[in-house]
Amino acid sequence: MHMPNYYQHYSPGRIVAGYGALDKIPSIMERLGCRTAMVVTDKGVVGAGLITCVQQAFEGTSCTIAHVFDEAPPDSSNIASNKLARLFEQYGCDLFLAVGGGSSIDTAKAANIVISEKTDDLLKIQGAENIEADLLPVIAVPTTAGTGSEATKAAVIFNEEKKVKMLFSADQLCPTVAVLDPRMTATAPPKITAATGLDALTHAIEASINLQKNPIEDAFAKAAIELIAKYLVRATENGATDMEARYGMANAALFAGIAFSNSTVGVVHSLAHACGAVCHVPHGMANGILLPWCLEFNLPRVAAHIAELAGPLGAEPGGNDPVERAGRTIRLVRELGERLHRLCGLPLRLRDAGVTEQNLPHIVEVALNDGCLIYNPLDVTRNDALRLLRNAF
Amino acid sequence: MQLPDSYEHHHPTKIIAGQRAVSNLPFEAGRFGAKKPLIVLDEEMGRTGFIHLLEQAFADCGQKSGGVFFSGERATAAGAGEAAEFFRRSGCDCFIAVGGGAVMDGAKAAAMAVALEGAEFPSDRRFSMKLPKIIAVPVTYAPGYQVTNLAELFDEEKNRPLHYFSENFIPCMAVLDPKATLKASGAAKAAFALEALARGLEAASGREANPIVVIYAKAAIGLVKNFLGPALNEKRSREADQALASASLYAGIAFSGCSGGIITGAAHGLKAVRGIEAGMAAAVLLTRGLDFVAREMRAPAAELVAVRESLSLVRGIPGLPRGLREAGVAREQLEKIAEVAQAGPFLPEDRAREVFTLLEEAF
Amino acid sequence: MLELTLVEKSMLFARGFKAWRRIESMAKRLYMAIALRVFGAAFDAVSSISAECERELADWEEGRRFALGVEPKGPCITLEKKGRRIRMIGTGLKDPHLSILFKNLDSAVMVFTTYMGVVQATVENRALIKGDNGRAMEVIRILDIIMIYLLPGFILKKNFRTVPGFTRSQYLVMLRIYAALIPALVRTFF
Repeated sequence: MHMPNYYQHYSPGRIVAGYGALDKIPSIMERLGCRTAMVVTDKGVVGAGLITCVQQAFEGTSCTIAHVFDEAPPDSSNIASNKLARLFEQYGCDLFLAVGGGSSIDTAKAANIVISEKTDDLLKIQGAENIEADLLPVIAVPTTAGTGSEATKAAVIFNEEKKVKMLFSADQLCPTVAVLDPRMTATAPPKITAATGLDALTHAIEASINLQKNPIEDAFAKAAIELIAKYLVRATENGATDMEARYGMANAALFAGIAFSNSTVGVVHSLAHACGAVCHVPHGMANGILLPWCLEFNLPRVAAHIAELAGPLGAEPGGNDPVERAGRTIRLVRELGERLHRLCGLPLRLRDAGVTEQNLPHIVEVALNDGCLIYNPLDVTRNDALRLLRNAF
Repeated sequence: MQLPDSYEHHHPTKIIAGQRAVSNLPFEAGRFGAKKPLIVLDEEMGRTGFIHLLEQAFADCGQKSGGVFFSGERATAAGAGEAAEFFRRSGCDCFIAVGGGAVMDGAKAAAMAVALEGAEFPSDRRFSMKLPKIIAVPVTYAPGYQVTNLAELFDEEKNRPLHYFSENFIPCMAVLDPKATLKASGAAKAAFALEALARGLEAASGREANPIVVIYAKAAIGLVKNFLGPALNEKRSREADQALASASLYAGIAFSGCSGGIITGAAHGLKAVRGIEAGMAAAVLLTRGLDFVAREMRAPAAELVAVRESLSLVRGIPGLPRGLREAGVAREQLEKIAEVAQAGPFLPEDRAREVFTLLEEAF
Repeated sequence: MLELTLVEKSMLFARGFKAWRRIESMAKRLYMAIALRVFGAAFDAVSSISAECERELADWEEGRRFALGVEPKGPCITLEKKGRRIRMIGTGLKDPHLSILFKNLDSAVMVFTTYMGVVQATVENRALIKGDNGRAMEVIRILDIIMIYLLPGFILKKNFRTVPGFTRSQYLVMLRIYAALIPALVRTFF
């Protein structure tokens, strides 16, 4: 077990989990002293009928949904969040109820900043720990099990005028309540289930090997990895029929979210963010492809940390050599990726995910400016990044 | 990990742990809207001069603390009223409690008194009023827990402790600074670590334990297993001291999420009847009664192995009683201790029989 | 009693006096004010000579400003990209696009006495960033280049994840940087 020189851990959100957790939302709102919710979601979630479930939970209660904002874009943007903030005030709401994947939750977080910091120019507020105002309550109901956004203190918003991504990270951004109900993730198609599951796995693994590693984040990460090893294949394979697997994955994503919200991620995420920005590779998919290669890259520095993860991933106990045991971890990660590939066609190579060889140098340049790199155990130079991408290509 | 069909968890303490954590306290407190703290501490911490470190941190930011209040050995309504008066008079907006469990109880009671605005302390165990922010600076190897949802107040008239539970007792922040480590004997270190183990084990195997409580408990047990050895054997290991401080903190958090258990209950009884410090009591009970406890609790196997390994490290440490008899308890008292334990706040169900058996095992 | 070294004990004793606390704070502020100006000069000297720095600066738009300093209201400098170099344009926050501010004086002093590396300080959440994260990474990379040229090897070994080997021509660059640092320092302080 590793004890760092210094660490911080903060997970202020209330967690309400269970079969039927959705029905508790109105009573949670009452406890928070709120009455009028603004639902933030996207068209896909509405189309899947999930908002109806939420609306049913409000029937016969004193709380109401004032408006359903279903325009959260796939990449949360400043325009959407500014519009949402205006509507929020227009309808006299007192709480955001974000129902969706990472982008819906991030859109709600950004609109919350706009209202609480009384600005419509988010550029001025972006940064790390740069929010001073108290924010309004946010209840997050994830419909994918992966981003962990329901428990993180970060939001990424695309600035449509300046064409840049803005990163916000501050304690206040952590949603006030995270509601995990397996009904909400049950309808996700296999490929999305697999990709978001690998995203959660990457969060957990990177949080437990990078420079901000600490004992409590380790414990959260290992719990997440254990659940993912047990349930991800089942959730992908059985879809809506296996609620236990869905519930397990929802919890895994949350634990991984808590872990990486505090101890950040590393090179896998830097490269995956860049693949997303340059070639629009879905985030979870890119993470899944890059993870084993990046683990191999970091192995010389953190073999012992990687070795610790073999157990949670399902390896039999035994073997004292950390390098050998770390190799076992990496093999298990690869095997998981391959099984998911056979199940739902999730790509194993960047070339199958829409990346061309000509894109690689551009991806490297974008990745080098990604803040996650600083937390990686090893320094990543231009050449290292290019080599990693070529390996995964 | 087994997931219950439904659970709820909320423990909003920000943990700041490590080198110069105290220097960072004013900035982080500011983010909670706390600018002028009333510092609560006991006489012993007062003598160490640790408070000057805090004062320096505030001076570096151009701020000043609202003053210092010395809490007594135990929190009382009168003391809390005095502290609340001081708090109001000096225009403070938060409490910083530096020390062990007793100091924290003092701060919690004072915060209650501030909220009550002169009204009597209620008789109800649940306390739901909003309180001023509380920041904990736990001192390593000082007895007692800081980050829990429980406060103990001593009723001087009736000569008995009162217990209050509230989510609002949970400190907004816990600051673990390596400089806040007491010089401690092997026995004191062992008691500190074993109490964390006992609470961790109870939390991980409790019936209402949610997965997050289990995560904190496992982390606490893992830290004790790995760092109790170095803490006992090396002349001075800041890493091990800090690890045990974190373990104790996690155990407190895990404990807040579950209602207690037979070890905590029995330890409470031992303290009330024989005045044995809770940590020392937990250490003795765990050392001698682990087999019984394991059977009773159905604790996770991996954690049990870790607990056994840790227990083997403390065998034969001078000053650590090998059984309750050595700790000065008479056999005739066991019945009474079990009774008091059952009446205490840690055993919501009737488990006096189990507590009695545990006490006998540990005798 | 607390488990402290003799030095820590004496510091604790001294801090018991209000006057000492005030003096210590002032000394830390003064040290940071000087150290930041030295770094301001170093930005100037290194950016005008080092090829690595030039490559980094190629993508920077003209007039980009960033500030380094200490919260709250502690010493602070603002720098600006002018032509091919980075110039310090003054103390305090002068409308920067990006600020990197340490949360307290102690953390800043640890970094600027090279007791702790920039990476370690970031990992330990000792600074806050106002502005674009990517730009902060660019500034940190330049800060790394400056440290690699100016600091002795044993400190680099302690504070960097990997220390790049120096070529002969880089040693020449290093000498030129030291030479350029003197006029830059004169400009910064007077």
